[in-house]
Amino acid sequence: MSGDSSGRRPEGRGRGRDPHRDRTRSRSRSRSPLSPGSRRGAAPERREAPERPGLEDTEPSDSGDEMIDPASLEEETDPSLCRQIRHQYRALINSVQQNREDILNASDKLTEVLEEANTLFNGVSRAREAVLDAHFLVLASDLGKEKAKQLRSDLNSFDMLRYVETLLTHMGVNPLEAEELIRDEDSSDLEFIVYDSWKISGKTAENTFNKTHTFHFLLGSIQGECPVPKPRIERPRKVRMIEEQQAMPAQLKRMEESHQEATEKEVERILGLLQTYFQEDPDTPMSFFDFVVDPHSFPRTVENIFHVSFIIRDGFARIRLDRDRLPVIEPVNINEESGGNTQIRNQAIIALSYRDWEEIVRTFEISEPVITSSQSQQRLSA
Amino acid sequence: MQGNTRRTGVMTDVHRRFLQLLMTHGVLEECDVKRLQKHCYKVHDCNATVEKLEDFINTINSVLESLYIEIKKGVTEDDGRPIYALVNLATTSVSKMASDFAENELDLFRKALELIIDSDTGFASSTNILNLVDQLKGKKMRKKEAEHVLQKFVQNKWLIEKEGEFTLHGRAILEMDQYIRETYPDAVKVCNICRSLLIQGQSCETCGIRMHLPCVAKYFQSSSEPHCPHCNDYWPHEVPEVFDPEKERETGMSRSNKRPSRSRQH
Repeated sequence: MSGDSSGRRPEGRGRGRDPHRDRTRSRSRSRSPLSPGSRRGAAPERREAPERPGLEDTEPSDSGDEMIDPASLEEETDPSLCRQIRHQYRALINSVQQNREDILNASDKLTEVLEEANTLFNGVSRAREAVLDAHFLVLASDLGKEKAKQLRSDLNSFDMLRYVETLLTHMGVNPLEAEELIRDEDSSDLEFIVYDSWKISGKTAENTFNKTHTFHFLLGSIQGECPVPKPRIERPRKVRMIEEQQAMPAQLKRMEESHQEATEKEVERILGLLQTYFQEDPDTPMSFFDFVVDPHSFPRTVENIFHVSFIIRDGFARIRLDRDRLPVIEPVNINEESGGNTQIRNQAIIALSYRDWEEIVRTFEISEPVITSSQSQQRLSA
Repeated sequence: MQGNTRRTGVMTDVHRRFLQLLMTHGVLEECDVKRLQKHCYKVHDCNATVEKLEDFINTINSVLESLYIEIKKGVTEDDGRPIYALVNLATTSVSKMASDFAENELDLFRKALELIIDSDTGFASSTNILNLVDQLKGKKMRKKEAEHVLQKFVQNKWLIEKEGEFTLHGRAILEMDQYIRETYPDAVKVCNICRSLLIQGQSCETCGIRMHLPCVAKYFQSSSEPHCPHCNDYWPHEVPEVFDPEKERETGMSRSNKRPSRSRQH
């Protein structure tokens, strides 16, 4: 009932504004193939009523007219035509499904069937046929996806033989000739050709790798995290302490070279010495300085440190700090060693200058070397 | 600055090629810079009037200015050769990421820099630098690797190695000048003559002022008995010779002749 009244009301209002109404009517008529008159006749009043006031209220727009079009079209279409379209669609889908392989392999078959479907769609006016079109579209996109997959796998595969052939041709070598040369086992000749030819391919490749240098800088990157001022307070003192002892690594190196063969024996001898001392007095740890420093000879001292470093490295002895924070050395028992293997290894560089050595001899009051030189020992035993 | 900007010319391909070459090398001595400038003119524009090197560089710098990059001129600290380096002036979020070095490598450089700045001589021994490897940030680095990294810094002309000791290359000083002054305000040393940053040089044993070797050379050039410019005490060090490009060319010739044979030995 409300529909009826609303349908009548605009009519009355419209009549009052005749000239304006006429203008909109004429415009809509020229755009739409369906005249308002015929439409009103075809569509039931109930359906049309809610649309009408909208049209009249928003005035000049004629979109309202078009909104009704699908509904009216449905009423108009010929059921037999629709049946025919459905039939054609089904046939098309069937044939595409059956000729799947053909379509995949042929280059433009897929386009052809898509165009066919497009022409069919021109006649489609109802949802029922449109659904079939959608069905076909799903199928077509499936095929399209498969085709795209094929394409990509083709690009990815690398034909080595073809590549080698192309490369050889590029390098100015006839692939057939090269094969003959290999068969002849005249390898020197082949090598010559190939070596020279590599240069050609190298020249080509060069361009790809010939990159220009970019701008290199440190400033921006290093500033990332500023050093905290705290560690800086300690460092200068530390540095100055170590600074007095310098220029040692070079001397160590020379030692290594000249005594290469003797080193191993000497290391074993020193380890023996260390172990004997501890057998005699196992409870008192031996000061590292007492052990290695030779009060009569600076080079002997350096040599001893060098040899002891091997013992430490191989895990036969260890150096630790005692209660006075002075280094002591002690041998590691074999039983103990297996458990201690997990210990983290540390590496350290010891710098020792002549001055330091003198000072150590004075401070620790070392009068006799613990490690006697091998020569003097030999003399004693002889 | 006003005078400079007025004289700057138009950036041409000659300038661009020169800039690219300088980018490749990072830092170059003046004689090489002049040679490259000539080369660039030859390649691109034989007929163009050759700009004076100073103006030529000003032209490039006027364009680089907006990118916070600059071609800076300086002298080497040991023998006073003039050098030119392309340096970065700003720290931005981009520059923090665009580095040739890994985090731990940069930290190693920072540690070495600290040692160099804190030392009296301007040198840090490789032993001392390598002993700091355990304290590095980022990925762990072995001493062997650290040695390689230090060599890499030497190759890229950030550090100089002399008899197992490291000091800053002129390139690093040109680029890091501001950073060093800001980061180590207490430890930083300044030349008494030119007032610029000093890493290695001579110092007065009485009053402790420091001078660059090239500055010492120039300052005492004509005096037979050198005296400290600050406390007027006797200057106890050997006065180096002033750098002379003419003389350098002669020795440079003989040096370049020797070079190939030396490199073959390695």
